[in-house]
Amino acid sequence: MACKDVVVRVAGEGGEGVISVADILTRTAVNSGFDVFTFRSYPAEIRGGLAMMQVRISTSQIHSIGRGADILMAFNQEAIDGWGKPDDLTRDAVVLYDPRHATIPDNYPRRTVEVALHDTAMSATGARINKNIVALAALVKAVDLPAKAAKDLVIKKFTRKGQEVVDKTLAAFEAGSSLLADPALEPMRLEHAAVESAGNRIVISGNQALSMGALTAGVRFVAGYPITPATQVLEFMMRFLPGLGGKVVQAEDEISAIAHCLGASFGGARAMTATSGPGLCLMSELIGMASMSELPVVLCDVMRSGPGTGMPTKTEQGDLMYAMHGSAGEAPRIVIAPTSIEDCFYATIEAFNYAERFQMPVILLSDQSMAYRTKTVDIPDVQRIPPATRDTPTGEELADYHRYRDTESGVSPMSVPGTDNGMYVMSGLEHDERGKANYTPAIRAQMMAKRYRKLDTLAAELEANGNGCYEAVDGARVGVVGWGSTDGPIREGVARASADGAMFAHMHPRVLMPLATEKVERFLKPLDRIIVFEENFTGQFAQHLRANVNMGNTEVIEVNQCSGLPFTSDDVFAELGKYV
Amino acid sequence: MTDIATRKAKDYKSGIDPIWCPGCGDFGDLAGFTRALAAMQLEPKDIAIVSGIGCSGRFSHFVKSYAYHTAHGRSLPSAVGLKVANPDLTVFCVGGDGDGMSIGGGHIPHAARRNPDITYMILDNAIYGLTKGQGSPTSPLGMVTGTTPFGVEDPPLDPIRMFLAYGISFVARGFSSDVKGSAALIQQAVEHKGFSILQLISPCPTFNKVVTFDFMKANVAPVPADHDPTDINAAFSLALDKEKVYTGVFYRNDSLATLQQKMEHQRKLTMDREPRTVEGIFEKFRG
Repeated sequence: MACKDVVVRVAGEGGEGVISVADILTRTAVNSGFDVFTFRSYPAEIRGGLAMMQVRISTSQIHSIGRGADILMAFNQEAIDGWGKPDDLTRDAVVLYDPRHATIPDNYPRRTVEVALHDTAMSATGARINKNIVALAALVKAVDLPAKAAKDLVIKKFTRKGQEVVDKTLAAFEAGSSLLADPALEPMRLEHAAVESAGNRIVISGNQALSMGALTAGVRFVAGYPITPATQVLEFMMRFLPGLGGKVVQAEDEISAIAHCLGASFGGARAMTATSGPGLCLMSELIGMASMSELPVVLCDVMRSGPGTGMPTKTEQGDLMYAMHGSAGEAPRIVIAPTSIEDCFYATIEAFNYAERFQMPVILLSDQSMAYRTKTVDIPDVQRIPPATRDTPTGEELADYHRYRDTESGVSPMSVPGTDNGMYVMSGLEHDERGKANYTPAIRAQMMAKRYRKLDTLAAELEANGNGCYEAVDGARVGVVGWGSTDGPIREGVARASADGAMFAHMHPRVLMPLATEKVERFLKPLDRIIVFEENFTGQFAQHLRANVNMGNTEVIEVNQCSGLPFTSDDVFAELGKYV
Repeated sequence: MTDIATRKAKDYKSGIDPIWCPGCGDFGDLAGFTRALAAMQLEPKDIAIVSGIGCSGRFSHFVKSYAYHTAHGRSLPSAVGLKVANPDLTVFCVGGDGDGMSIGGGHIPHAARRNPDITYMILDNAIYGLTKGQGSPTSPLGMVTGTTPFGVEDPPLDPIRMFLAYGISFVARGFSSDVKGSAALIQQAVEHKGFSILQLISPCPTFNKVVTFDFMKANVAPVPADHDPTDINAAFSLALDKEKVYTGVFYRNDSLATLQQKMEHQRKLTMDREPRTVEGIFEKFRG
């Protein structure tokens, strides 16, 4: 018997090569034609501490980290104690453990199999450092992936360290391959997909997808300051953007990063920064500056657990309210939340287009769990979303240039410095249509309305085209609502509940500010209740809905989790079970 | 040079009248600035001025150019971003001692490391003027202000010494009463390829009764004719001189790579090693 979907979890002391095992396993599966979804948990320590990476491998397309693990490879005792909790493993799960470093608790209700990682590595290679390769080989065998695909990756990884290292690593692999002959593992063997190649697919994380989206959107300037879990975006840009003709600055702090971006955008460049909640706080004065001076800029907030320093390596959807409102006074901006790794690519392109078209800051809300996990995706379609450009003044308009001309859409043509007759003062002070400082009540009222009108223009567009999921289901009386990275577990949880005959509508808007309120109201109308899933404590999106949407008689049930971990489809399925 | 010039200093005025108090030192700086622009015959459309908050933050409104009047303390990183994005512009950054040495002071050493080809003018009046007279980081000891009702206790910063220590590639001081002198310094600063910083002492007749025009006139002296501005030790000696407040070029290093040159170097390194298209980058992420 073979399975279609298996979740392998590898855990151990940071520095033991735990992440490498899972990473090579991931690539082996991808290169063999499977769909893969990974999730990592980082220890707080720089070195050491408990590290864990989980790999879900499937014969069909998957959208979440799955339910509990089917196989746990435990390098040490902490791995069993921390990541081998029976409730966190499937009923038929098998725990593989090294008896030299761990013992199984009394009355442990899951199956266990000894794998002598340390001793095998020592006898095969004389070095315990190779025990992760022993573990890799055992896992490849356990789920029945092609050994050759794994060995090719091992060779590729270690070639630069010399032939001797490659030989020892391969010896460790051979030794590990013959470790497991346990019938308990039989059900974990994967059914083989017809195609045994990766085809047109790549394995990327949310941060990588976002960065690729920015490059596709034609970003020309990036400034950032290292902050977990957004740092990889800056690193990616440093490595790749100059080759594509863009410029990157590692700023001295987040205020400087956003200031550089605003300067660059004023100069005509598509500009972006990536940060996390604490950095967004530092940037918020200049978010208002960009709103007031009508300057396009994209800010990616890869959210982490707050407040304060919070849990920097853990996930949360806690910055929504701050992203929508944080700054001095009332500062219009657009907030978009990608719903998956693929969507990190496309939503980032849209973020640039919105910024350039509506001349205001666009905040893209990703989060730690989406940023760090990896998934097989089809090679992104660089043509799908054509780049939009900012409106520049015509010769006629330049003859009597009004930078902030009050228009029907609220958007006014913006001249790039260097343009003849296009000179103006871009100021954070309230100003008239020419950009001249002006504090008179009439001008103030006119210009506030003009700036906010741009959001109305976009909202009307969203009402017409939608952007995100508003899936009505005939006969459904209950709706499931979420935003951002919870789309995958919600979809899978709903699919399982639906397989049992229950019916649920699903709403998952991508643009959260402005909200397509009429669209939301139409979605709500037939529903007795909605269940709003959010990875925060106070139910920020539910508050946003209550504040902006006529809820009619629809009851709102909030399911808020802020444990630092993302929802699983099990979590969703269990909640839905209460309302069937 | 002015006889063949087609633009005069007054042609660089925007038409917006300065909001400064009568007798403000900033008028002299503005005059020196427009005079320097005329001397260089820069096209207004190719000039961009980024200014911060404070009396001197309004500077950018009064010059015919592209202008970005940004948030308090953020003119310098904004100007660097602008120059990087639009390198054909001649980019200026303007602000006061509070904007530049207090709230924005943390940006200066990092801009110094990057060495962007821009000119930063700090109009130093040793007081917060726009908020009506509070002690600033350059207010002298003992000065009574709104926030130091019994006199300043903390010693003032010495901007020139800091700029020299930061390794800024062009460091100069001017005095707003010497319009011709400031104009010459601004022109040299613009012509220097790299980060130029000027402390322009600009007395505030309304709120600063200590660092006055008379006080400054009694204390300023041009840097000695034999000063070698490429000698960093000599520059420090002049800055440390307690007898005189020297005006002129303290230091210049014309061989330091500019930010633009360093970015071009990075671009070449990247192009040798990494893909030049998004599609090429995708290939790197196959299993």
